[in-house]
Amino acid sequence: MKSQPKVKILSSEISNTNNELKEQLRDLVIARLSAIPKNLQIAVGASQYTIEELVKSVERGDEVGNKLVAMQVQYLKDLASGEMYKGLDD
Amino acid sequence: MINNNTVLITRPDDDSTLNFLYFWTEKVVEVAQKRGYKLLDLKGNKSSRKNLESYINKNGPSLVLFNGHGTKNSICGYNNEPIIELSVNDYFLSGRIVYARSCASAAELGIKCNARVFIGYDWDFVFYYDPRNISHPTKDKLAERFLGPSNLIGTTLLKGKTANEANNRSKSLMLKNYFEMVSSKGSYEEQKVASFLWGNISGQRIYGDPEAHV
Repeated sequence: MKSQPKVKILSSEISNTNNELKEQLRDLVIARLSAIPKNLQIAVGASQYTIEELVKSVERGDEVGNKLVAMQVQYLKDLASGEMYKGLDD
Repeated sequence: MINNNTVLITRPDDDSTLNFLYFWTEKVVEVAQKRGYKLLDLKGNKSSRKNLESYINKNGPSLVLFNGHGTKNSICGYNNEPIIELSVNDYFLSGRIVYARSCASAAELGIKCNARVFIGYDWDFVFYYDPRNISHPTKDKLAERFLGPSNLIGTTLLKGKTANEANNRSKSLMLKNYFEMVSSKGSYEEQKVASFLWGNISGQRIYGDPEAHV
């Protein structure tokens, strides 16, 4: 019984950390998107977007914005883990 | 019925994304014509479910190349009509070699349909382009970095190579493009969008018989 409050605190800390991490990742993706020349467009799914529209989507956290964050996070993970260099051995 | 010398291509053109795919597919069409295939080219509003089913029933293409929007369970044609849907009419793909240049359709449709082999993407297929090239998409060098490797799947299959070779050649070219884009050879635009090509590389999947060929 004594351990319950401690666990609750830990869960809440983890939850806060996750939220902070999510915000940091979102900010990171927004910064990466903001570096793309504004004259370009991207086709994602069934729609086309300007760079400004992409940034707004990520800020809002809508479906496209979340997809972009997931894509960029996966890219950064694969870059860090060396996953993308494996194909060079083929 | 499976006819090895017959290929069916869908290429709706009712928005600017599809317009790019439509024109880039022209290069695949040229290879099919040069190689003497019987080509069933469902262009524009001909990319309907009714036409797809009818052409497959009558001609039995061994190779089906889709261009269009997609979901985990479906591939769309003109006006976003789902022309292939899992558990509805996916049996039209049965025994055929399929490449779907559409978002996410490998995720469930590709795994569960009974195609001989299915190459596609398990999440969104993405490409960048310069809107100034919208009236001549094949001149867009940035789009070429993304769409050139995907064309290679169709052209490699049309040359009689295996699905595995088609998948690997496409991935190798994407990887080559990626490293060129991030290098000093890449333009400023290319350097900034190269990371998005990685999504297409890591999301491209092959299910079924990798040794299948036309």
